[in-house]
Amino acid sequence: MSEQTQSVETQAESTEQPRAVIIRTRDLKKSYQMGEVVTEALRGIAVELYRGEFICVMGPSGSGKSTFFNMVGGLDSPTSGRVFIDEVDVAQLSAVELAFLRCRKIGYIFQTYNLVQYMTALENVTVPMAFAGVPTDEARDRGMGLLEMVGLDDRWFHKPIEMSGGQQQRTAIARSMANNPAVLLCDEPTGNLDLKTGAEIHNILKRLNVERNVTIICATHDHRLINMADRIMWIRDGMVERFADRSDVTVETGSIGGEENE
Amino acid sequence: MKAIDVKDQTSLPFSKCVELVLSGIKYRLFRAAITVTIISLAVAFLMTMLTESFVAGRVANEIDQRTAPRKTFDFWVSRISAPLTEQDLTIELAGASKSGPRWQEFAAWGNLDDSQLETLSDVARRQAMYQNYFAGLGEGKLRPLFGRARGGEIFRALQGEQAYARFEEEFRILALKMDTSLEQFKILLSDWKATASQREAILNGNREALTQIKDSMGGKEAKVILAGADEQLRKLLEANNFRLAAEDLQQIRYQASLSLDAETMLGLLKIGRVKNRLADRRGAELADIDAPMFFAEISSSKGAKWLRDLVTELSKTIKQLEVDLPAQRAEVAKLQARAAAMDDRILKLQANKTRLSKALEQAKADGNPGLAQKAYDEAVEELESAEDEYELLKEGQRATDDQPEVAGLANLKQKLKRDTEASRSLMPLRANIDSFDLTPDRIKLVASNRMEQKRLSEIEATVSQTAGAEGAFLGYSSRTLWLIAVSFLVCVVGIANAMLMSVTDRFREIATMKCLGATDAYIMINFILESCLQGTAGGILGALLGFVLGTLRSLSSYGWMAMQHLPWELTAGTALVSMVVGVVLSALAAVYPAWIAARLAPMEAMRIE
Repeated sequence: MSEQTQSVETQAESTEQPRAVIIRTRDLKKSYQMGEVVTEALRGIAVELYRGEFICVMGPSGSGKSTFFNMVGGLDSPTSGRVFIDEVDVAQLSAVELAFLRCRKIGYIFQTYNLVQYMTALENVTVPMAFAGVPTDEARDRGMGLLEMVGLDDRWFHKPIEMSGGQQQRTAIARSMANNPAVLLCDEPTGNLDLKTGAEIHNILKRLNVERNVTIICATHDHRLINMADRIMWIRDGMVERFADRSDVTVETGSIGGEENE
Repeated sequence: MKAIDVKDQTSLPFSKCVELVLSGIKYRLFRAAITVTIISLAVAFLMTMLTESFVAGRVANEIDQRTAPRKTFDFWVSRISAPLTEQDLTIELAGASKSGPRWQEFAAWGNLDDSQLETLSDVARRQAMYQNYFAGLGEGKLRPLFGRARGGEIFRALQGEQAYARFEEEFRILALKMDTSLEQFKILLSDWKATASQREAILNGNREALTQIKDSMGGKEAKVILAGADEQLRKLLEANNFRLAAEDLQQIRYQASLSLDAETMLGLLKIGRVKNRLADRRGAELADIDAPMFFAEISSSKGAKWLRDLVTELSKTIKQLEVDLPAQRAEVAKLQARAAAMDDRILKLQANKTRLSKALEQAKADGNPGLAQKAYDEAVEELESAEDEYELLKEGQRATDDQPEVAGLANLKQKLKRDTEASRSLMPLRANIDSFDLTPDRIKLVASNRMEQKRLSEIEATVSQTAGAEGAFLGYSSRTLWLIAVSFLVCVVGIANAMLMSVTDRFREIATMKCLGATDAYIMINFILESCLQGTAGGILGALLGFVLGTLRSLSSYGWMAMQHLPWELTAGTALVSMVVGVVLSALAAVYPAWIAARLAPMEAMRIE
């Protein structure tokens, strides 16, 4: 396996394609002070992710995967090192500018969907637009468009409690696309879903990646999703253990039971 | 490659904020209801207090006006009945204003000028202050300080050097503290002594003037004098330096006549028969009959007519008794004479019978009883008929078909005894009954007035309790204000707790919102706005509830008088103030929870429970 492993630096040097870098980290370190003990969650991560890439991040729990996500998503600040999102140094941003960034440049998809319980699907989708200052009428039209994209336009008035997990996650994807972000951060998007529903979500994500050229960064254990990825990143003990193109990795997706289709 | 520019996040329009908050409240309606209830209770408490205070103030005002004539009258009654006491003089002097009527009276009686009176007034005011202070100390401390002297007497008691030395020593031992220094108290004592002769002069002047008036009025009672108060009386009073305002004259006369009539009516209640009848009429026990019940009964038209009729009946009874009693006495005497005569006759007949029975026995022995037997039978018959007659005379006989009733001596005696008793109970009050010339209308008026005065004085006592000490905010004591403050504090803590729970419950939602682009300021405003909206609802509810409660409480304290004095025009303002208080309280309470929420890291949204 070692010959397949390439460090990010060497890859960047060797392939001199003029690909736009959307996220770049430099010697990213993060440590948490927990009482007397200092836990080092990230111990120097340096990666470059390109616009339009579909990247899967893998790693056991406690590997620093979540911390990496928070850094890349502009949700937390590193102890040292830098995160550039679209060449903007996140550390330099004020709280209000960070809110701007989170609102328009990054879309978040959570394992637990995190829809606002007292809002309808459409209202949920238009929340980020309201924060971005989009007029209500336009927001509604765009929201309906997004719901149509995920196949829920006939359920726009449903509250989360009236929807299945898959429908909720599709609504969440529509919401994450509200302000046409450059990056989608997905944290185990299908972790709470059955295989069939998970596959639908995978398809939507792939479609967004292909049709809208959205960079997708996806933490997952689902091998089918890994199969769709352009590159796969392994994190262990706060370090990038391996970062490989899909073609260099053997992923076996078998079918389980009769319900599995693709 | 184009670098994106990152700008400040746009802030959400206010209407959008309200919309989002409202939908949030709708979702958590039960919790919102609890918060609203807490606020509304605190606001209701405040509103109740304010409403009650306003009503009490106005009721007190009206009572002052309505009892003023009565008080003027009472004041003049006491002035004319008895000379001024030293205690009263001190009170009057402390409250006397220059060029007021009392001031002129004192100046004339004591032959004093303005500056002397000013000194007296000043001394009296200081005296009142110290007297007040000492009155609040309690018996345990007063005894060692002053011995037996209390009230105004202490100033005289402390005049001796030895007494003062003892007072000063005890004062130090008890570690007491006054608003002023002991030196100033000592100055007052010497001032008091210096002015004693002037006060004495006023008291003497007053006493002489009163004697003059009493002599001129022929020793009549004060109320009677005032009932006939006219310009002449006013001039007489003026001549003796009593200043009675001409405009008070008519009112005093009216009040005096009411008071006298009420007394006349009360006099009737001493009559046993009136009491009995009243007890029957009210269905009450005889022991429970009292003046208020009496006045309550006769303050109605029916009751007044009943009393009038009863008096007429009593008056007739008296007249009847006057005629009947001598006749009855004569009859009894006659019958008694007859009985005595009968007694004699029966004794003689019995002796005769005994004699004849002996003769009969003799004749039987002689063998010739014929004549003697006849004489004896005749004697027995005569004795029996005499005894029957005697029986009839003593016991009387019931009426039968062919014979009218015959009143026996025993019955007559009993009736005489009863009538004599009735006469004995009625005769001493005969003057009351005979001179009772009040019409039913007048009876009703006087009784109603009397009841009204009683009710007013009861309300006055309640009002003065509610109105509280002078100088307190809106008539509330510092204790009540403290209570209000504590209720607000409890309210703030309660709301803060509810909001904090709301924040903790919504960690994920808040963090998600932050991921979606919500700024810290938005989250903060969101929560404060939520609390404010609840505060507004609570404020409106509380103001309504408080107004209703305050009105009900006032009603129970002051009766219908409270309804006439509901502060309608003040209510809008009060309600507004209460509502603002509610909003401010809830906004204050939301600051800390909102801050907690705003500080929350957006990555909390990723966390999985």
